Amino acid sequence: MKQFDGLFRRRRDEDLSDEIEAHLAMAAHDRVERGEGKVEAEAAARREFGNRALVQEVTREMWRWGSLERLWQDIRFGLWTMRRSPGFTTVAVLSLALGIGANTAILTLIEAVMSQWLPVKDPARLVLFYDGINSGVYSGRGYHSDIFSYPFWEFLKKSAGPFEDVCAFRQSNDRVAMHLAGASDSEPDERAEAHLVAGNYFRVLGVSAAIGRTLRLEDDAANAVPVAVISYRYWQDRFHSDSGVVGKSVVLNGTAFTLVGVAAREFFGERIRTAPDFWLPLAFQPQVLQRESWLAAQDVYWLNFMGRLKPGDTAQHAAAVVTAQLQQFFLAQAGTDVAPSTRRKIHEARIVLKPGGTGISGLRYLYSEPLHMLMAVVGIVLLIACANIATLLLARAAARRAEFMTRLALGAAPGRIMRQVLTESVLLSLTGGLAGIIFAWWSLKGLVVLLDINPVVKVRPDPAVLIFTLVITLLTGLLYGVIPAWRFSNMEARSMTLVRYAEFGRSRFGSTQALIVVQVALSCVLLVGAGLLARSLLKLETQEMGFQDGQVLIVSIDPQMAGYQKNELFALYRELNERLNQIPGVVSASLARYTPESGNSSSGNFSIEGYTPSAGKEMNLYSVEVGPHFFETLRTPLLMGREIGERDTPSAPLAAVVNQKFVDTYFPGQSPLGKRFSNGSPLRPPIFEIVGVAANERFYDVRQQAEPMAYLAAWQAQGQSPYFGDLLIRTSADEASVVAAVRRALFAINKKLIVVNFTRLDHQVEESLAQQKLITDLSSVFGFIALLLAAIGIYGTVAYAVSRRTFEIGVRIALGAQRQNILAMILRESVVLTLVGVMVGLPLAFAAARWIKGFLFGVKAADPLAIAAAIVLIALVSLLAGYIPAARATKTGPAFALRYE
Amino acid sequence: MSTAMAKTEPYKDRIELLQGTLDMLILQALRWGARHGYGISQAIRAGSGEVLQVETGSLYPALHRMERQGWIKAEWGTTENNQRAKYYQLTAAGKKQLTREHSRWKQMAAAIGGLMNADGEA
Repeated sequence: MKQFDGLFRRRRDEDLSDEIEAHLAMAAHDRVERGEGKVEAEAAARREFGNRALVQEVTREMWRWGSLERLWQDIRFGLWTMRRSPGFTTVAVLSLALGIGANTAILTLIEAVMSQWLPVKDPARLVLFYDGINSGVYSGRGYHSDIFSYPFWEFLKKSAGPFEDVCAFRQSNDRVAMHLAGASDSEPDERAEAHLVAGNYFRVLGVSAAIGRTLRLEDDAANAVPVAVISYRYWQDRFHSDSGVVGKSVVLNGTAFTLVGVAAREFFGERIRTAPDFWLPLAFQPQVLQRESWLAAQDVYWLNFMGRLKPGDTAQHAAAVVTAQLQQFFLAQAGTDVAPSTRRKIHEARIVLKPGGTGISGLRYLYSEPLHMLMAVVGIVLLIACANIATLLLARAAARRAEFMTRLALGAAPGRIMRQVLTESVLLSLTGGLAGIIFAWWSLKGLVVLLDINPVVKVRPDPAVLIFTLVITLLTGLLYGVIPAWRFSNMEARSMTLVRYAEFGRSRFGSTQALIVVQVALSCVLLVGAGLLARSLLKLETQEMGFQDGQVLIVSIDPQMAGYQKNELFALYRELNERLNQIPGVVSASLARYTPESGNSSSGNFSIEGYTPSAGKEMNLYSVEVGPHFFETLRTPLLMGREIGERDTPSAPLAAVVNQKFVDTYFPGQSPLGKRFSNGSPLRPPIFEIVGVAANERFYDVRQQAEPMAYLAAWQAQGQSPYFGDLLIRTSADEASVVAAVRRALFAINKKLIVVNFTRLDHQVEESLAQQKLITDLSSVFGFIALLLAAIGIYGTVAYAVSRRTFEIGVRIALGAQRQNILAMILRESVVLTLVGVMVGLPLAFAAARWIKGFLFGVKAADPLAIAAAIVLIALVSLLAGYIPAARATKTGPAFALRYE
Repeated sequence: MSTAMAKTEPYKDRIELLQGTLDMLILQALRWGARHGYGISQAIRAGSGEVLQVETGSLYPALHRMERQGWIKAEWGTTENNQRAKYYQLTAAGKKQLTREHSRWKQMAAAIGGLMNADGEA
């Protein structure tokens, strides 16, 4: 600090020295003129001048008014003020750290999940295709289906049109059975994930190989040598970072592929998800999928596109050009004789291009809402923290009144005092902001784990977020500093010196009171919200699911990967049914296309024999294929008829069990047994006969009421894919031993039949509620933090009011007032403020509740229990916060109180 | 400020004029032209008939502060005795300040005078 001051002082120090020197010389000269001796005159002049060093020092103090020095002085003084009241500083810095830290953390997360660029070359120029019908699906914000055929890709490949380059890829990864070439036959296949991409995929993205090369356009031809690129992660995990991996051969679903390279370390694909193991050329679709070739199929839509815009081109312009290409392609396909209606349809077909540089992300869809809700919550917490600190600063006005009055009396300009108080506030918030950033990084680690965010999303310090943090830090400093600063600088210096404050009676409703109301109201919003979410979660967790999820294992296998043909499946399923149900410790075992709360669903329109829906009514039916013992395994009550059983073989009539909702909807009050229905409309084979009615299960979404649903016999599978792999096993024994026995049974059936996944039904149900639970937990935590801050605010205000009224209290006690009356008198203020705060907060809470309706389940926005709980909690806490200082005040003896004043 | 105040404390009992009043006297002394610090103290002393003696410990801080406030400005010059000295002179703002201080002083003097006279009569 001394060095800093020195920069400004040295020159003026010399100047001042010269000035004083001149003064002394002139005084001595005058004395000599009056006849004194030279030596005596000089001594007398010095004596008359006084302590020269002190004069210089005092004069120097006046220089501190220079703007930079003044700022430095303000900062130094601010730091001193902070040190002087450690309690206040700690509370303020902590609440700021919490507010700013939480905001920084959530914003970093939003930034990372919502708008992080793919680790590819110049991602801003990448665009994704979408068809303009499935609105939003290609915005990268949702799930979507594949929308283009291979012939269109071939057409586009010939002329990239408006793009610098354009490539195709299959949206989903495909599961393949993998073994290293030359490995012994007795070793079971491994499961691997392959992504089918066009030969120029890596070129369009601008991704290079870490080792070897990436795919080339010539690799992607029907007669090309099968080659594959592996991901860096797979190279590390499976090949132990073997530098000689290039040239090795792997067998994928029976076809040998030569490894030509390892992709760049950070690259994971165009989708925000874990990198696949293999990238394979599109031309090998038949071998990889083990299906008929789609390479010439006009009507199989299985591809997505990503284009790289030419520098300076816009997505809009490119979309117009590529739309024209698409229409031209369709017209060419349609041939010479085109019906007018077809022509019209072709002219309506269009391609919309959306920014693709941030990749396609399911996370974005999943987390957009909860993250924005959390952002609002932490924003409110920060506001409360601001109001809280402003309250405390105002309460401190009492302690600092003398200081500021003295300074005003000494001639300090009001503006200068204002500036100083603001410097103090900003200093405080910068300290809080720094602590907040530390808190943010620390909590981000936890949040990433809690939210289960894929590690390919790099959650890291973001310059934009840090700038935002800095801005909110400064803004909060100004926000809570401005009222006290204004207050201090408007003190009437002269009147204050003459008249001492002796306040009697109730204090007026001022800024302190308003700030308390704000804090209580905002806490009320958060607490009601947290209460509603907690009630929703409780309802979700305790609701009737229609099945019992405890003690049920889900073991997934992949018969297709194991090489089963469609006509071999019935035998496999029957053998599985026999063997699994014989394992000791297995109560019952079944099979299903997918399991409850797995995130899968299948539905479509259907027709019932002899049933005509009322006009305009769509008949929609959810369906799932299940094996024998399905309801027995899930313990779902069977209400009528029988369940799907061993007799429902491919040669038997097609059987179906429907749920109660189906009956209520289509056969109210009647027995549906024997009734027949089919998919599509009108009724057409295959036709299913209803053989039983089961209780409603919440099969697809724990939040949704059951819809009409049919359970079809898996052994009679009619769909395009009869491969089912989820085994449901209810156990009575220890999980590990059952799983081991299941593995042995599978191996005995076919050594290629491996367990590809394994979980428990109750975990799966729990997981489907994980997000809800996390949001509920976080909002409760923030709700209580808000309440704590409000309590500190109330405590500070009451303590301050009491300190101002110590004299009054003393007089009252001396005059014989009861302590209870004094207590009531003091508490009245905090009770009134709390009430006003709650009354302001409740309408806000209702509005907020409507906004989070998507997260509520089984409770109304105006849920009386949640509201009552919030009010009781706020009332208790604020009473306690007010009671402590009030009780302390009434304990002071009258003599002390009077002396105090 | 507070640290500054602590350091000025030893001088406190010696400052007998209210700060505003000292400012006014200095401005008044500069009304007819530029003067150096010594000259100002001599002028106030002579002008008050040797009653008011401005301490250098008050004078120089006041001068430097008023320079900061823009009421006066300083320039190095030479006295008739060829002594280099720092000359202060009024600025426009200083002139305005002097007028303001003067009228305030007159009000206060009248008010206090009135009070003293009333007490005297009682």
